[in-house]
Amino acid sequence: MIDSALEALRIVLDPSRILFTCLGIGLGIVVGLLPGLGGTVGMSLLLPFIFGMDPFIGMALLIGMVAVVHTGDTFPSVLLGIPGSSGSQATIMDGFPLAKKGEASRAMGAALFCSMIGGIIGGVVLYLAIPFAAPLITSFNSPVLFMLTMLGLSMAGLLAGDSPAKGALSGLIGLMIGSIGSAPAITEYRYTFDFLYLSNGLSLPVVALAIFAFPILITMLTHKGSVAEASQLKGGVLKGVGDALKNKLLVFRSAVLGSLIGFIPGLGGSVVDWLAYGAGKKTVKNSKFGEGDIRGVIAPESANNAKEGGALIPTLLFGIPGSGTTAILLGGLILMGLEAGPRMLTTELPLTLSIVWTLVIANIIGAILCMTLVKPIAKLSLIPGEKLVPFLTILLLIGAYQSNFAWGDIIAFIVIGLLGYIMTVLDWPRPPLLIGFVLAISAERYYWISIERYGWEWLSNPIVITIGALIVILLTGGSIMKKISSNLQNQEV
Amino acid sequence: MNKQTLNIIFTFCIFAAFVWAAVTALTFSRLAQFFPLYVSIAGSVVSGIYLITEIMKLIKRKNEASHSVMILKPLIYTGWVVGYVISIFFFGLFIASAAYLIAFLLIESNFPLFKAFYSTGIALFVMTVLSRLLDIAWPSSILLGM
Repeated sequence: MIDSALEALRIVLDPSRILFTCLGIGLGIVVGLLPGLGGTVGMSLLLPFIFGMDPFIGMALLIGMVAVVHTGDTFPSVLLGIPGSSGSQATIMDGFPLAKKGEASRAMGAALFCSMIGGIIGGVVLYLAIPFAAPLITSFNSPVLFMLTMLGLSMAGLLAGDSPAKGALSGLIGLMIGSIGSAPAITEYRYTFDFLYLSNGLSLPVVALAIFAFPILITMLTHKGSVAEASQLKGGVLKGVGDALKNKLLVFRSAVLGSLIGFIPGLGGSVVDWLAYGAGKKTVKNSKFGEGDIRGVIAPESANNAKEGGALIPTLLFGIPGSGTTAILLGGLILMGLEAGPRMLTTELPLTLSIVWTLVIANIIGAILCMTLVKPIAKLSLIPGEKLVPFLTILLLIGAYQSNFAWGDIIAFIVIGLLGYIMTVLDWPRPPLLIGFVLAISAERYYWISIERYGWEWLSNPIVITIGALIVILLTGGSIMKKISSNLQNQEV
Repeated sequence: MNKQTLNIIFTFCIFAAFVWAAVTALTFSRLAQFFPLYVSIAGSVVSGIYLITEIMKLIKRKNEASHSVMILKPLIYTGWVVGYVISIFFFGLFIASAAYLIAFLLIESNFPLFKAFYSTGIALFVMTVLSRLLDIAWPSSILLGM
């Protein structure tokens, strides 16, 4: 396999293929930079061009683009508090407060470096997982997937902040919004008010943009200031890189977690950054997550690029797309005369390995390219809100419209945006709402299949029990540890 | 408006929405019902308890000062966004964006006339180029059909 890997590297480094990788990287960064657009849009753009192309060149183009979407999307998340794509929602939590302190460059440096390392680790995981992929993927049945969804939902509890009731309610509102549209178990529409637009449910980009971006627009205008409350930008890109190096274990843990979550088809890559953020918050010492802790940027950014490597495993080896982006990638394979499946490990192994290398190389080039852009783009955070907001409004409305190309997208953006603004003003946490929304359909679907197929017996599945115990530890571990340590302190006094 | 009072009003709205969702869920068939019903019942209970505790807190701290919340300004700025959306609906994205940008930059951002037109021109140019290159769809207008 090592010989095949070296042969694949030689193919990937061919100048014509590197050129196409760079073209993909350029598009990926632009797509990531523009809020509302994501890997799915980038893939759809490239798909018409790859028909009949040499598979190595076609994959260089597609994978080059996919690999760096979550590198480019860091800019709007950190600088404006607006998720560039669904994978960078958690970056806002600490990236934006850092930008407010005038440390946007530092946050960007850490985020981009971690994206690069995460992407490389994702590639390595993809390479290492190839021989073990089949038995692992088949072991994920509906009860396990349901419990993994519950694990994701438990992150809402961790992000609730000082008010658990507000956090729980926010998560429940998200679950409720996620249940709008057709039911997964039966052809029946719920809470659609006879609007055709609502029959498919609300789309994630619209909800994410509305819940995070709309409140930012209004707040920037009412407070008449720039994003950065400091008048000068402090801390450079290299300081951020240094922060990432200091927290290398967190980078590694988050990247491996990202790859593993990406690996599970159907769980949804949109939750990977929240899982990494929640896990980071629980495991680091003296956590100030949510107040501008650089580790709150490092954890999700290490995970979201790593996820791409993991997500490619079920896509390429079994033809199971875990997301819209990978579904289009499958279409791309067909257009190039290939088919996902076990052949990718036998006759098409060089192509599979070239994908691994492209993923690694694209992450390195993408991160370096973005780092050179940090300084000029970080100045955006110094522009007064009333000068920036009108342009942002146009960008966000067009971005929201790209979800379904329907007027409903724009109306939903404003309605949910107002809900987000009220929540912001009243100090209700918004991330739990988004987590609830993202996981609503998966939770319902896997719960229903588990009950219909296994009755209540699925609760005795050892993996289910293990994940259940993990959820309990995650939710209660922090407060138990705090009680123990305060008791110990009292005894010492 | 007082922040605590507004929080109670908002929580009441959330409580009412959950109760309505639970009642509506009862009309769905068994397979479509269970998930929204569980969630809305949980939401009703949590929001109900939270609402009662907040009301009790308000009664206890009746004489204490609370943060006030801006109402008028956010409404005005939301009005700008809604107005822009309505103008897209009637005149299409290009014309509506031009009008919105010029009006906003002159009235809210206090840009000089030339700078407002200049900035609008650049924004429209970038918008057009990007949407051509990335094949980005624009919301259509009912009057002009573009």
